[in-house]
Amino acid sequence: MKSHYFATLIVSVMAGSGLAHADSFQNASQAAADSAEASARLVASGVQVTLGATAVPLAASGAVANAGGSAANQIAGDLWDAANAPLTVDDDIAMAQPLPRLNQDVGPVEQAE
Amino acid sequence: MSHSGLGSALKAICLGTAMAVLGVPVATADSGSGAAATSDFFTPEEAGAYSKQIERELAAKGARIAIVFRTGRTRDKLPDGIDYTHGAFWVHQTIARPDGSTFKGYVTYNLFHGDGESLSREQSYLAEAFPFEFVASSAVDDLGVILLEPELQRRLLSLLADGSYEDLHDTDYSLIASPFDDRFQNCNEFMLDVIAAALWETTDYDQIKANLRAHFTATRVRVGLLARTFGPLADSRLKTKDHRGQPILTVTFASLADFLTQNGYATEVFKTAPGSVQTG
Repeated sequence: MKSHYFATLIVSVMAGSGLAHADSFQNASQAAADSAEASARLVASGVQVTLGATAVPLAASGAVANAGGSAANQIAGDLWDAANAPLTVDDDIAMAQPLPRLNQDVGPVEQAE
Repeated sequence: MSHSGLGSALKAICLGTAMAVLGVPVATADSGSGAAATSDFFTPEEAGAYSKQIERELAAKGARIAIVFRTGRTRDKLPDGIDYTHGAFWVHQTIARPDGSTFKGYVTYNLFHGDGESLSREQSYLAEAFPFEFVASSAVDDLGVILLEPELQRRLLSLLADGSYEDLHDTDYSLIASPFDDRFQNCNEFMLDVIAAALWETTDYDQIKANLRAHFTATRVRVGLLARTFGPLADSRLKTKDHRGQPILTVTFASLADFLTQNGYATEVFKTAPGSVQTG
C-alpha cells in the first residue's frame, strides 16, 4: 500500500506540474505546417533559407574524417588540426523540407510496357 | 496511474498537500525532448536571427560540439529546479543544400519521444534537426549552453561519427528517467550516457551506469505548490520503477553542467538571450 501511495503521488504531482504536456515530441504534421509558414515568412523578409537541407554525415564530411578509419578515438590528429581552425557559420537558415502533399488528382500510374 | 479512482486520487492529493505544507521535497523532473512545432514565443524572423546568433557564438568559441538546452514551457509551468525541458548536442558540420552545394553550420542531435500516433509516447527515437527548429520551439528568451573541453569534444565527435552513440539509445522512454538505472531513458540521460561513454571510452552500458552511480550527482526536483497536484492524473511517460522506491533523481541542465564543470570537462556554462549572451 505504501508503494501504491508513492507511485500515485508521483504521477499526480508530475502530471499536475505541467509535464504531462511538455514539449517532448516531434509533431511532424504541425512541424510541416509551421515549417512551411516560417520558411515563407523568412524568405519574404530576405533571409537566406535552405529548405530540404541535410547534414553531411560526420564521417564523410572531412571535418571529422581523414582518420583512415571509423572506430571511436581513431579520429585524432587530423580532426583536431581542423577543429583548431576558426569555425565558420554561413548565413543559410537550414530547415527541413515540409512533408510533401500528394496530389490527389493525379490519375493512376500507367503501366510500363 | 495503475490504481486509478477517486479514492486513490484523493489520497494522492492529500499526501501531496501534506508534503507541500511540511516542505518535504517531492521529487519530479522533466527531461522532455523534442517538438519540431514552433512555440509561437518567437516569430520565424526572430527565431532565425536568434538561432544564427547562437551558432555564431558557438563557432566563435571554437565549439565543434556543444550541449544546448531549451524549454518549450514557460518557467511557471515547470517544477522547481527544472529550467529546461529538452537538451541536444549541437554539432558544427557541413550541411548540404538540395542542389548538392554545401555550407557550414550546426546540426542538432536529438532524442525525441513518440507523438502517440506514429510512435508510442513511451518510446523514443534519435533525430537530426537544425538550430532554427530548436530555437523556434523555445517558450522563453534563454537557452542553456555547456561548452566542453576539446578532448571531450573530440571523443564525442568520434562516437557520433562512427555511429556508436546510437548503441547507447534506450528506446524505452520516461520523462523522469533515472540516470543510475538502465530501464528507461530520456534526452538528458541519453546525453549523459554518451558523455560517459566518451569519458570512460566504453560503450558497455552496465559499466557506464556503474560509473555514473559512483560519480554523477543527479537533480532531485522539489515540488511544493499545492496547485501542482491538480491536473491530469496520469501520463504514460511518467515511470518510477527505475527509481526503486527512492526519491526521484534525474538529469537536468543544472546537474549535467555541475558534473562537467566540477570535473574539468566543461570550459564554460552560460545562458543565451536574443541579442546578447549572458554568462553565468
